[in-house]
Amino acid sequence: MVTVSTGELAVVGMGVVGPGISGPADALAPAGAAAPGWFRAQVALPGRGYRRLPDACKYLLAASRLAVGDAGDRLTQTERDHRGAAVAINNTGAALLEAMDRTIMREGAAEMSPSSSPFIAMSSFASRLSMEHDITGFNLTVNSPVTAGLEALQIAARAVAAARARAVLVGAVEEALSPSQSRAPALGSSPQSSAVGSPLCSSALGSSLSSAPGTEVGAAVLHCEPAVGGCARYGTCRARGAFLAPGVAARDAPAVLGPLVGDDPPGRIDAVLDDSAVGTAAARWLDRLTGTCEVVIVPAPAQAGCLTPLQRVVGLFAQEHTAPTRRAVLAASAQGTLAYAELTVTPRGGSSLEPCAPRVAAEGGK
Amino acid sequence: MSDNPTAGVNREDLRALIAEELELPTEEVTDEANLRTDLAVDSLTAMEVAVQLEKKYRIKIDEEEIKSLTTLATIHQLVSAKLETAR
Repeated sequence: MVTVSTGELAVVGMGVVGPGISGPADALAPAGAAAPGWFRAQVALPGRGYRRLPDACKYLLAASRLAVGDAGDRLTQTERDHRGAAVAINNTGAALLEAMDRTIMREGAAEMSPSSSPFIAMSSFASRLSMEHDITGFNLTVNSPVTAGLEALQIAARAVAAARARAVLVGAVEEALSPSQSRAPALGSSPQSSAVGSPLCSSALGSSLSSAPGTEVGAAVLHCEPAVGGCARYGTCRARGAFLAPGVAARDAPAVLGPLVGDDPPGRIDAVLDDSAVGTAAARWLDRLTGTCEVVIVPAPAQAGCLTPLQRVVGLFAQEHTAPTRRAVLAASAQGTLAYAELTVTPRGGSSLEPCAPRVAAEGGK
Repeated sequence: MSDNPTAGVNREDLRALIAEELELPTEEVTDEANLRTDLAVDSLTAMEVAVQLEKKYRIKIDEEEIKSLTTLATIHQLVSAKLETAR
């Protein structure tokens, strides 16, 4: 089995936007219901030019503002050509596309809003993010189901390892599916929900249980830099991926997950898994780590997006420790993609974080 | 307004529409303020303005004409001329 790994990232700043979430420290809490008005765009994004953007784009921009602000001025101190963006999306534009289709069919293409029309292309969310922060180094959109957020971390690590970028905004954004698109049964109600019903889960259920099916809503963004020479304010991170063929998932799980997780698992692994053959096989394999590390199964609904895994990364980095602490997030899709992010959380006392030193002039300025 | 084109185009109505589209206070949309250079309007926003003008006044603004939407005064002139032609 092939496991692809890349370089290491330093996490400098973080931002998260979601129902009931007021900051990174809430990112591990059960997801709140996306009640109307939960997101106050005028507060999160004051100024002109945001009103007509799709809500999901606003979530992404708002989370990015928080992350960039959290990191101080380090993004603006980085040359624009050395700034990158890697953005994960799954269901982000689905409801929007359906609404656009409806407009075209009922009223004609001329009635489409010029401002929202560009979002027919799913890369427009990341493009708008790059416009917002004057990012010209690179801009990538990742669409893999469930795992895209962690894969965005992997892409960012590869880019900084190649010196293609010195600062990368890594984000994931999701929007609720429309009622006609959401076909998932209530989480845990499926008779095949073996992952949810595993012994592991009974003591360590994660956030998604309280969410309505298919309703990942919000965004998470991490401001990342090269681990070497960067500012590991929250910690450092490595990400890698693998593939577990659904048809032989139970048989191949040890051969695939063993190398992915490695011989020295961290103290805690948050595993975002659905009740597919792949998710079930992964949950059963993780069972063997009982006693070695804490495994927190985060059940993913059938139409899960890619936000939860990256949100777990944010939440784990936001936890306070008195010594460097290793954590990990594993995500698996029913299609067989696996992504694993290994974190080393920087110790800190109290709730305050030390600010990073400004980038020196030699490192480039705008 | 659009039900009675002969009544002309109320400049203040037009100012309010443009201010709404540009997310600006109406007082910033002066008669001669240049949309692009003074009010930082990009091509996408200019298209939004054109779409809203088309809807409100039931006129058709060609793509080429969008470039001529430079100030409130020129927009007023354009919309008035189109409504006059439509009489």
